[in-house]
Amino acid sequence: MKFIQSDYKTIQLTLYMIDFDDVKKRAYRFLLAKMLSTHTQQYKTKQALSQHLQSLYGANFNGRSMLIGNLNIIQTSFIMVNPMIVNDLSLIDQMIDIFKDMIIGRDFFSTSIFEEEKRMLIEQWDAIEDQKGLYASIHFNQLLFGEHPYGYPQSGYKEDILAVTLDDLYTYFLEVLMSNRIYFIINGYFDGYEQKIKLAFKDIENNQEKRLYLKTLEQQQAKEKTEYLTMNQALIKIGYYLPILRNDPLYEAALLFDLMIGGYVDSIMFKIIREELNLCYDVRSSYDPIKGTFVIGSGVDQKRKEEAISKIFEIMDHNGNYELQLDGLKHAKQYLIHQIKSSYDEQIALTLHAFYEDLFEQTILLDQRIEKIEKVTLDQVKSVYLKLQLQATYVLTGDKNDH
Amino acid sequence: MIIREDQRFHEKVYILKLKNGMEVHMLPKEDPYYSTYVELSFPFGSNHLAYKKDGLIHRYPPGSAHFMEHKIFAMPDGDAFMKFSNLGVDANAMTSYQQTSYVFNATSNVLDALKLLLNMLDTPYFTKENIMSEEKIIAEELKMYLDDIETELYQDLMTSMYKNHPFKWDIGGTLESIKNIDKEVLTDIFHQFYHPSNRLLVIAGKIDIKKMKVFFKAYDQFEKHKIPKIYQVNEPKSVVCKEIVKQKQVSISKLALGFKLKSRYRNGIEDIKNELTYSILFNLLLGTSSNLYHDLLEKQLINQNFYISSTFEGHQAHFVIFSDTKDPQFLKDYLITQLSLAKDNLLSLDAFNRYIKVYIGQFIFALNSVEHQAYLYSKYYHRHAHLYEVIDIVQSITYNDILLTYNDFIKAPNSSVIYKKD
Repeated sequence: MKFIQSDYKTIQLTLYMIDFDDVKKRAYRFLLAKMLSTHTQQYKTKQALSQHLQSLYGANFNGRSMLIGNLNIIQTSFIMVNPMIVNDLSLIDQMIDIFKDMIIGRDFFSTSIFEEEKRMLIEQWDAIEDQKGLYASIHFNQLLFGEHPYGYPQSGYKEDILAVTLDDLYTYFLEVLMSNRIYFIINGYFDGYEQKIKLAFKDIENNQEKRLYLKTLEQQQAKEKTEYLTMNQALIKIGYYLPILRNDPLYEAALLFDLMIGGYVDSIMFKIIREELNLCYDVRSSYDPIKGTFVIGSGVDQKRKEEAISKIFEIMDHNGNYELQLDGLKHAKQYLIHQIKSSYDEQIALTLHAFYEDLFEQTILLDQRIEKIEKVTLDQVKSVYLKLQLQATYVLTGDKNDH
Repeated sequence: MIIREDQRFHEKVYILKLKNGMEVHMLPKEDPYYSTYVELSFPFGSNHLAYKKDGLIHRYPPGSAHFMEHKIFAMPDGDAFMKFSNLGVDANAMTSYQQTSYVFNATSNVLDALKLLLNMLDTPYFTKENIMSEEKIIAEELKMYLDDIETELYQDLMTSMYKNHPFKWDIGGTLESIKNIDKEVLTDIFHQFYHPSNRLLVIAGKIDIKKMKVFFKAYDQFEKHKIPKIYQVNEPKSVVCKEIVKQKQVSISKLALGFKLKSRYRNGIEDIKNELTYSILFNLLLGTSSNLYHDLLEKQLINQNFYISSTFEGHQAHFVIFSDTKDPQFLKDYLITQLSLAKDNLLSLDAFNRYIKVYIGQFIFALNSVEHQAYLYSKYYHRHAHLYEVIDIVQSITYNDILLTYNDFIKAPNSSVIYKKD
């Protein structure tokens, strides 16, 4: 359990249940996160729990599952007002009670809520074509990652969801309590309550070893795919494998490379694709140091999509006309340092920093991070170009005649 | 300098009123704090499509405020967006129905960025070429929104509800209307509405008050300007069309149901109280803890794509319900029937008391982020209220206010749009 004592206007308690990822269990973990955060042993319906949370000044309670490298993490978070502001310290006791009620000695999972959550998830899958951005992301991920688990949806496919029964899910919940690493972070005002909080969760905390293991992806043959839906723009996604992970000496250089190529308004992509050619409203690159990928995405004028793709490739050609410059590196460093510093003001980001420190078993102070960024040279940033491996070019476009 | 303090939330506000009419409100956070968040806003938004001056009515094409928000970043010596980035500052801008805001977040170079922001707003640079180029970018932005089915549904609902009011246009205008925005339109907006006396500058987070005071001395010069009065179009009480049904290539049918509300108040505290009372009422009727919401879930009439929202501006207001549903016609009829019977089974005193607590909680949540705090501060200040008064307004709302507001609501004309699965 990690305590972060702070004077923010809210108090945040987060529970993490960490296990090695298994695609066959993704639907279970996705549904389990929903079941844990929609009702509890005492508040047996969604409505009863919702009304109770409202009486705690509209406390926010939610659950989700997420993937980080080889790990699948169920996270439930509780956020409520700082009890000192409303002069009611009993709110901390009530927060503890909700969490205890959610997991300790729980033998009740509502059948109707389970069926409702399944129905909603299945309807979401059935209506996926109505959400163009999500549709494009899922199909692009399949193209980029192929058979690798990263290409498998977070919630599992529709068939996986249909196959889960309530009995199986409850049995799985008991397994999770025994076999997952269970860890809490509390952030906010809890003066004098540390012992009480520790005592409340001492039996549920579980120190099973679940180590994060990062591995670069193996290069495949590059693939291309174009799909058609009725729409006004063309969504373009171009994906590369980039074997520079978070623990790599070139990590900071890759962050700066991302910014300079397409990470913000001073990037080459933004200046050329949007400002010079007026092909789009937004164009972005995003580097994922956990998966080891680099993706460029944009929604462009569908009549000019070939021009946009060709220009993106021209920019990505390290021997081409768009060389990375020292001035650009200076600006990117300033911007990255600003982003990191400002994240230290956000209460939720402090929880996230603490969680990542625990996951990566590494504590890096703000000054050390800044120093590492300052030391990056232009040659190091340019060397990132040479490591990129083109894997997928995906276009979702609106050509009514072809659809 | 005026100093206001709110003991309940441990917040202080330092206010500078400059001779040019601009007001600077500073909301400092205690150290250690790294970021300074700045929001400069004008009470000029997408709904302001006409003004009256010297007996004449001047009109702008829909989307003009949003176009201006894009184009004001152009400066004779380059794009201000890039200049902010070069300072290591994160800048942005947004247009709403009622206001346009220019924001940045900085952890260094704050005064340089402030100088750049004010300089940018004082030196418009509109050319035929840069306007044509911006038109293409905005067209892609509008097409991006049109590819979002919920935005399309909302826009169809607005055109079926409003005959004349600018609510019937998207904030960005249309692909057609933006073609009519030229140098003359932008220059006129600049001269009429972008004067310092129409600006509110809110600075929150890490602030050196003394340095700020010195900085703003340079801007403390008298400038006379009269902001023209916005011309309000006449909008009928009834809706344009009761129901629109479209066959669509959607995977699940969709319903948007809108209620055109009577706006009893025009400005200030009463206007905000009216809006908050309606907002609490709508949550009592269809919020996530309401009986009706859970009834709809149980009957499998709705799924997670169910939203309620209300929009208020001085002269007009509406409440809308959106849902994916397998039976849109039945859902619509059922909602209308149940809402008309709500007084006896949905509006309990217990639920009302809970919601008052929720609104107090939401207010405290908002103070946790300087960005949200500055946004709300500007929004309420333009409506002639101080941010910390809002909590008093919430607490002044009575159960009886809710019942009276409900009586008004059930008389409101409604309109619906259904996208029926092919």
